[in-house]
Amino acid sequence: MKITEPLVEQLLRELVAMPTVTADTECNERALNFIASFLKERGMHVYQAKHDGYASLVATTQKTKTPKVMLVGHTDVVPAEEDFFKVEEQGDKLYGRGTRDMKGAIAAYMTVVDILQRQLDDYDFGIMVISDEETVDYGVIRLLKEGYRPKSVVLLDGGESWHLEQLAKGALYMSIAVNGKTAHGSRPWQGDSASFKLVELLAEFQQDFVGHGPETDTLNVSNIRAGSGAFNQIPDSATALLDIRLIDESHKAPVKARLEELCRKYDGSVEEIVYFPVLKHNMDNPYLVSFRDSITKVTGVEYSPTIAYGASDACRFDELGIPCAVTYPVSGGHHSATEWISKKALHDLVLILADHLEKTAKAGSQGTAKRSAVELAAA
Amino acid sequence: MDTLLQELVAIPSVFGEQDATKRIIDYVDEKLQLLNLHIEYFECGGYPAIVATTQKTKTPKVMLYAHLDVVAAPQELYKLRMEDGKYYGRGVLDMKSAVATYLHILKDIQYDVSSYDIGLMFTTDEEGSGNFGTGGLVKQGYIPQVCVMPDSGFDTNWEIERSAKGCWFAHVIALGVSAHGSRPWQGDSASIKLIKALNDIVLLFKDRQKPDTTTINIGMLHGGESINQIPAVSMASLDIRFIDMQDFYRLKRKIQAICDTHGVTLKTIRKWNKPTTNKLDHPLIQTFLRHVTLQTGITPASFTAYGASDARFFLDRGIPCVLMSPPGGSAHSNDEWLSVEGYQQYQLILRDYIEEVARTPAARSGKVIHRALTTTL
Repeated sequence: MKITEPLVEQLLRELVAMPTVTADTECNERALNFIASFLKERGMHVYQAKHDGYASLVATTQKTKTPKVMLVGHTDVVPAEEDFFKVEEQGDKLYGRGTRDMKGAIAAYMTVVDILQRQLDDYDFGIMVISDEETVDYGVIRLLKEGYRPKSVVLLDGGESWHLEQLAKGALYMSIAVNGKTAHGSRPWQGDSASFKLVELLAEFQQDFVGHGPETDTLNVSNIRAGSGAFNQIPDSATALLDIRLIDESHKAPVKARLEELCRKYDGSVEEIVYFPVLKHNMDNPYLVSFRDSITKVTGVEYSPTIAYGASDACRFDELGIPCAVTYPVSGGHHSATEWISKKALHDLVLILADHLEKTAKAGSQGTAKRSAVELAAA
Repeated sequence: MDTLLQELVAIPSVFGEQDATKRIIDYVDEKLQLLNLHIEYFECGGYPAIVATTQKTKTPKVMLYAHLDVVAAPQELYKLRMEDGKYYGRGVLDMKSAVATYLHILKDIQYDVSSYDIGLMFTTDEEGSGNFGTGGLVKQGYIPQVCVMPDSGFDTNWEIERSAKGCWFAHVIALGVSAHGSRPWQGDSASIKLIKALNDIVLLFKDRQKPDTTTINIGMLHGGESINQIPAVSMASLDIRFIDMQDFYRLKRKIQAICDTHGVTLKTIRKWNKPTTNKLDHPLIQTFLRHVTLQTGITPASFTAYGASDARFFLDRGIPCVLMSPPGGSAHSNDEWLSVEGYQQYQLILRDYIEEVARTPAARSGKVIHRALTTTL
């Protein structure tokens, strides 16, 4: 099978070169405009929106809010060193921030549209792209509130190496703030150190997660901040953000209760930023069966369900009964300084999507004269 | 309200903020330019400093010292406020009132400056290490016979520092491996390593946070940039004060052992200085204290300071320092204040003092004249 090489790699390079860290809403908007123009030029109906500064778009082959298949992605990425916003090829691996999460997928979606541009009317699918997934993640929620109800979703943001996600851990994002009283650093008895209290609070809380792993609840502590930078000033406030993953829905309440208890002890407050519930997919759903068959057909990888440790926007669709096929192409280094996607997997993804859309996203009877998506992709 | 003090407080010259530092240096320089002084400019490590002298010398009889940098504050503290006989604002006590005092006095004697042997030293890194400013200038030979430095005596009533705790600044740095926040087993969280180390360090100082023991402050914590990313780097700052060198060395070894256990790095940022002792019986100190009594009716007592100041650079060379301030308190907090009456009294005290001790031999009359300032406060 021939691979549509140049375009998908070109698109990936262009997307990665835009440093679309979530906080940079301007850069994300530029990326979304780039995607929107590309899709419009090829005949898709494109709707662009902005909520609280975060841009998003939905492009459909038909003028509808209920396409049969919605290919979902996000342009925003986590921070990285400046030189990581550039695709570097080493063997089969394409390194760069967002190659796996999830600009590779967006590049593949755009490539499939390019392949099908002369026959888009024969298909009923859409592409939904948001730009706040790595933080508050209201993009999909807002678009669903606007009435988008695809029959199914493909989301390359979970699972692992073509294995479909069967269960996704819940994700509970919390913010902690501890109060104190400032004074000169040489006179601690005149103040009340917020940094001490935050350290003690977090030291106690993290003990609940010692030995955490893939099959348990886990904790990440980040964005720890206290003080203005002066050595000799006692901080009167200290904050941190917590990323807690839950293997079972019933764990949420006790974890929150424990945090509230610790905040009372250390004169702090806790706030839930966002929660993604634990998600269990129905793996017998025809759309999921079709997608995994397409994977096997193109890559030879046999179906084997996995647990996803990260949450994704799949839970938002699942809440509405919309089935989601969730996996990652062969890739790695998630959120790290060595994020990468396999070049072969990137090309395979285009073929997988084409095959899946051919089976599940035709707009009606098309006769036999036109070439199928798979044939076009292979050409 | 004192306009000069008002203008100085309004410049948010927080240590390390280059634009504001330049603004305040330019402001002070502009004032000094009008006073018939010999002015030298310095910059070291990015921190500017100015030394202005009445004679062309590096060794004036009396050096009037003040640092222009302050610690951070909420925006409203950069507006001088007067209430119930007190000035409030960031730096009113620590130590922009000293800057204003010196400028007032020099303006008072501007047409007669050549009769005096005084220097003014203004630095911008005291809230950091002081190494670049005062430390550097002393190394370059700026050695007075006495240094007036109202950077101590806060929260006292005209008391003079006889000794000060030693001080050590360090960073605790944790390095890890980043990964997705949902996969902590694939990474190595720098923030959790840091928290565990700091928790053990804080425990060392339980029941020790007192005036007469070794104390610790964690002035800064920083770890991680994204909620769902395992932090690869996390850092904290330590500010340790001590009276007893042996106790300090013991605790320092324990802190190092804790850091080694948790795989984090302990890095000295400001090398520890031993506790300092002031020469209170020095004639130039005694003369100042006599003028305090004459002006206020108070016989100054002495105390041990908990904080360190740049006086250590002078004290280490045996130079006595007038380490007392007008009444004021709550330095580095949001309630920093200065007695208005005390501020005015201090100016009179200092004016009389330099009249008695800082006249050049040629100008000395042998009389001490108590005079009111001719400039409006």
